[in-house]
Amino acid sequence: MIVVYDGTAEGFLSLVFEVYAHKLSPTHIFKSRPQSLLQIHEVRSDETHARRVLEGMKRTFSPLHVREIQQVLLCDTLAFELPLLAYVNLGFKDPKNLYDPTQESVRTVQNWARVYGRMVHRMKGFVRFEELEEGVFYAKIQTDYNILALLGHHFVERLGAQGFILHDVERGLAFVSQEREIYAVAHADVPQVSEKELTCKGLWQTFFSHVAIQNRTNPKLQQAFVPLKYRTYMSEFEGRYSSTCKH
Amino acid sequence: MGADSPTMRGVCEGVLYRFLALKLQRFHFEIKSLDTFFLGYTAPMAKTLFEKMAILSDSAKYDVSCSSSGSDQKGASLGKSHASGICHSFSADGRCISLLKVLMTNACIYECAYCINRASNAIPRAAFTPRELADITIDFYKRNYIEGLFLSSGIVKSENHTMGLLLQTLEILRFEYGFGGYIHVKLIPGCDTELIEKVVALASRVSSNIELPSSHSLALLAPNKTKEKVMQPLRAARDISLHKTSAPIPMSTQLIVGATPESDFDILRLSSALYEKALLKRVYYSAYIPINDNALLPSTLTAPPLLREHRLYQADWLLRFYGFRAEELVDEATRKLDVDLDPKTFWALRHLEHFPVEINTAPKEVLVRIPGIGVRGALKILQARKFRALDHAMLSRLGVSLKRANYFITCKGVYQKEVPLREDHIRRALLGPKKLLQPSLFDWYQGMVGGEV
Ligand code: SF4
Repeated sequence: MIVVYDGTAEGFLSLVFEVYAHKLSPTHIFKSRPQSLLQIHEVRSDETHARRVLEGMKRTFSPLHVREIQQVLLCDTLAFELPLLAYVNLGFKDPKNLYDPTQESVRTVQNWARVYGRMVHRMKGFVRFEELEEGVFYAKIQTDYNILALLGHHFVERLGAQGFILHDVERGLAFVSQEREIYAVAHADVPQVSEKELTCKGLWQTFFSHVAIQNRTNPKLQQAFVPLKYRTYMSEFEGRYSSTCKH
Repeated sequence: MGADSPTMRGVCEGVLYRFLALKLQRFHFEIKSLDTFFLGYTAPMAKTLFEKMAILSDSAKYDVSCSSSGSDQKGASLGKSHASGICHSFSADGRCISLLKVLMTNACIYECAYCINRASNAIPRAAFTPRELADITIDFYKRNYIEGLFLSSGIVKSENHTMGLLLQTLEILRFEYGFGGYIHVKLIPGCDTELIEKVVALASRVSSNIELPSSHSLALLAPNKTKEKVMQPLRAARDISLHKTSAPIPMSTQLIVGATPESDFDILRLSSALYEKALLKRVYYSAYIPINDNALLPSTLTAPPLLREHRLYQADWLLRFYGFRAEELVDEATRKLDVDLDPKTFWALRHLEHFPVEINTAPKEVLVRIPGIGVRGALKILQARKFRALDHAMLSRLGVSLKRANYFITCKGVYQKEVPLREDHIRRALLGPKKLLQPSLFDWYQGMVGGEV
């Protein structure tokens, strides 16, 4: 059976609800309707259903496993649906199953959760803020998975009273520190940075190029740690200050 | 060659610098302030912040005893250090950048032979003021460039004067900015205990570099230092912090590898003694990069012993997290770690009486001693075998690498069939027949960062 849902976390939980309520057994799950004449079951997002499933999981599963499920739900560019559904089924049969790494769906979900966690950890370091004219700090991010909320809360703790905006460019979302809320971004202008910004960036680039030891230059290793896709908004990798440094 | 060809001029200038610098060194006691220290010095004092940054990060980069990891500063208004340490970037040599690592000044009255900043070297000198350094730290921190500051300095005027400059920076950051992030302070050997006490109260971590693994080498190459003098601030810091709380301030040191003839055995015995006395949390190893011409040191053409450094880090890891003792890895008879094999495999091959190990029954301490199975692998095995008995295929599926482990384990009593359990056979199987191509440094470091050995 082919199932379609709207790709949101709420939608997926509604899907789980229907799987139990209507005894569905999906063979494919899509985030959008495929071009196909086959019979397709469409799941509608339903908040009550979603909540019931979430409550059920929180009652039955350990907090660790609930967190893993939440993290995988935020891996919005992965086709996580079938393994995650298998994982949830396994857990509702007996929550102890979720500790068993010899089960394939357990391994898969654990791996995704680990990859997600690693991405959050990396981005805690790789985000670059710029000071805007108004004194607010602003950073653009571009990530495979949706990690905006976790990053946002990390920076609230780190920056204290300093106001900041974290902008997920591709998803069109922004975390705003004061409200601790995520907003949809309809349209973003090129921001005006403060006067000081150029000096700070320059000092950072100078530091970055001088801290490397020439006899040990190893761009391959560098790239393993900072893959190219992370470098878009990291000023130290801009043009002339790219990975090799000249004196 | 004409007298004014570039190389000749270089040599002449070098002589001139050395001459001037030596003269300055002799008179340094009468010098009143940092600026006058540079009067008459041909290399002009760096003027712009950018020049200072370039010079002072250049002179700090050989110090590797620097990484950030959790410690909490209560009541801070800006900043928080992260328990697992965050890398904010990676430099062209592939090393983690987590702290702003610069020297307060690279001027130094000392003459350590291995050091680029020693008094007689003809290099441009510069100095940050405590205020400048504190401001840059905050600017960098807010932009998420760094996790904190690594505060170190050449010795200018006197030990106390230098420690005072570092302390001043620390105080601006903690008291004025309410900065709660990570600050690592290099203790200056020979400064007063009073200063150390103030620093320990405010820093997240302190260190003092032993640099050379024996007193003999120190006497030879760092005439102003002795092991006692280098250890003194560490002992003082430990006593002070033990006095106040039960958790002493984390401390670390750096040992230079390959500048002097000490063996891996000497080095690891020193490290493990330091760990056992709970004096240090980390020992860092730094492959010596010849910078200065000196008859007592490897010539400037010698390549830094990066592989040896890597093997020492692996061995160190075994000391700290795997329950190995230094004497198990190297001893009087075998003073060197194997170049081709990691230290754990090297140990296992000399102790085949412990192998093969049955994966389904061995306790954790035994599992982690299997070559190729790290702490993470051992935990996976322990978890999975609660549910069913594991065979080779399941181990692979669990993500446990069998490349090395295969020769040292049985699964449900089954041992692999191709290679008999004998040192020479396994060694050949591990290294392959055409051991012409050395693995790239890249592969070594990948392993090292994962920490799985
Ligand atoms: S005291 Fe430190 S900075 Fe000065 S020469 Fe010795 S190692 Fe270098």
